[in-house]
Amino acid sequence: MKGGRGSLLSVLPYALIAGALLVIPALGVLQLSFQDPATAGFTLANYARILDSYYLSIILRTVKLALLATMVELAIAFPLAYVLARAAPGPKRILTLCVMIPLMTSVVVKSLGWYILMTDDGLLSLVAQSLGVHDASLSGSTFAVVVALVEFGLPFMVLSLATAIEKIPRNLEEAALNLHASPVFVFWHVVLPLSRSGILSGFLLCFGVSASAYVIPAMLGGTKVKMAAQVVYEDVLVAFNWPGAAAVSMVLLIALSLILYISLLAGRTKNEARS
Amino acid sequence: MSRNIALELKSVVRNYGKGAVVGPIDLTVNKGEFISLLGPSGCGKTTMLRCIAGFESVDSGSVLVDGIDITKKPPHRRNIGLVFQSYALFPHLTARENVRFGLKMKNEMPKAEADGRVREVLKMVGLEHLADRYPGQLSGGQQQRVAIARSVVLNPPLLLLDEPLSNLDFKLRVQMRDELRSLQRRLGTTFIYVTHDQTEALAMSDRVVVLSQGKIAQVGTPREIYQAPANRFVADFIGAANLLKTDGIEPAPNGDVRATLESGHQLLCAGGVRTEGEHRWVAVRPESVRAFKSETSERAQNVFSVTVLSSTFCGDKFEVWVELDSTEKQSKPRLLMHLPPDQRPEHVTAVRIDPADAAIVGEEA
Repeated sequence: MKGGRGSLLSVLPYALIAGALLVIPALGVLQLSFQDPATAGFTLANYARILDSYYLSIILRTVKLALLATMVELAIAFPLAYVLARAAPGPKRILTLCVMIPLMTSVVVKSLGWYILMTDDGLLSLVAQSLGVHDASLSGSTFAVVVALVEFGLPFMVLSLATAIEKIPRNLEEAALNLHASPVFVFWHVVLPLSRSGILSGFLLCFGVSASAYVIPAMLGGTKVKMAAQVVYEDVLVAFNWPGAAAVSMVLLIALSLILYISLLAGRTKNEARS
Repeated sequence: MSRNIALELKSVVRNYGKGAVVGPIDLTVNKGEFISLLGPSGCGKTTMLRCIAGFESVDSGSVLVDGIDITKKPPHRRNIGLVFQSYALFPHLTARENVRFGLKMKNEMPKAEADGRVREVLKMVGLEHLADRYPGQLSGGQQQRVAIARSVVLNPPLLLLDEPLSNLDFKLRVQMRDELRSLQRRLGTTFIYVTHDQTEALAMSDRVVVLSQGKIAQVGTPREIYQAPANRFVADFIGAANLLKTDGIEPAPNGDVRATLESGHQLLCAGGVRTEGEHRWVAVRPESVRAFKSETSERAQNVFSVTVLSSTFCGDKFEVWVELDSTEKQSKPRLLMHLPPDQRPEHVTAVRIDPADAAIVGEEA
């Protein structure tokens, strides 16, 4: 890393805010997670509880669904982002707006929309039934949760990818074509590797957003498809077990940080790795 | 159809929006020829190159390579090399991988053979020791060589170069000019070289195509283009020519022409006479205007007494602006002349123009 005193100084305001509002409370949560709910003495029981298959399966499901949603988003977003990045300035403005508009709608409102479509006599359920899926009740299904997660995260993925694709000079694609690469090969050997930074930032954003989703699984997952944030909510507001909620939060935080760190390592370009 | 023809453009027309049109262009390029497309920016030279490479479609007319119509072929099936102005090297690949890219895509060569070929071409451009560097770690001149090697490795029958030297500094540019030319001779590949730099075009090419506003203004050898420009545009664009407006021309003995300038001066011209256009100019190169010492000769042709207006010392020469002395007040023609550095500009009182160096040109045809 380059950067002297100036660059250190420029991150100071953010470091102060993050320190005061994020790191210190997180340390508080860490301390809380080792407290006995009844006696407030030191205990590992809160973590031991998570080893229970109920909690473990929810945390595992959270990671699985978040990964799945992120992968689907990546596949859907790439062509969209490419069109957006290569559009003329006028259409680009309109397309960007179209991508942004969903972000201005509350996730509660959007989940309600999905809920209506996916109830037993909702439009999507009816379509599924007419296609021969007889016991198709979409509400409370993994499918419903993933669809809503994908819809929610898509703008983040599109914008991250488009930013990276915009930076790939057009003539690199032309040069590849000129060197006998078919359009598919141009995508595979030039556009995709050079979009790496966008794929990585899109992945991190979308994975983070999906893994911490609360409203979507709460409204569309019913009792069957619970995700981690719901467990925390229930511990805090239903069971009044704050230390238990703190332990679940810490496990989630550590698991997500690990996954993000690994993907950052994997996403380093060859150039960065060498220097 | 001759088997000697590498490229043929048949009334190629390309509209590129807002009324800008290239063509119709007719051009035949012979095998092994080094041909330059020369013109100011916006004259359509890059558009033509992109039409040949297939990045822009042709609105009408056809493009033939080796006698085969490729007008409708997509760019990745054309087998025409292109060196971009900005090099367009793949930043995520090393120099070696950049050069290997085309062979890999074409997939016609066993890997070991391809590796050997890549090594051979890198050696040819003098970069074998830098083969494993990324483009970001190479200088402009080295990137330029990688870009050329990347195209040359495929052995294309036709190589297009889009102002490849314009991003290099002056010394390197002159050196690369010679290297490119000798590379072309060695390979025997047909080169089509786009440039706005007339020195470059004259120095490197077998033939020069001068373009103006989407049309061919003149095709000829560098010598023809320089000494017998087809029209006022070519004369003006190739080297800073003096253009003197004439009132009329009349035949003179020996097939020469006597031009009467607006100022009343009479000038004998033998350096090529183009008769197209309503208005005609006498084109004289600055280096063809020579200082004349009245005591040395009694009666010489095309001698005019002048007044020096200004002079600039350029190291190897003086650039001197002079005004022809005239009894008529309204229009005194001005001439730019080059004076050897050992002479004094303030001593110039008369100039002589060799009739052979004075050409008559018309308005753009």
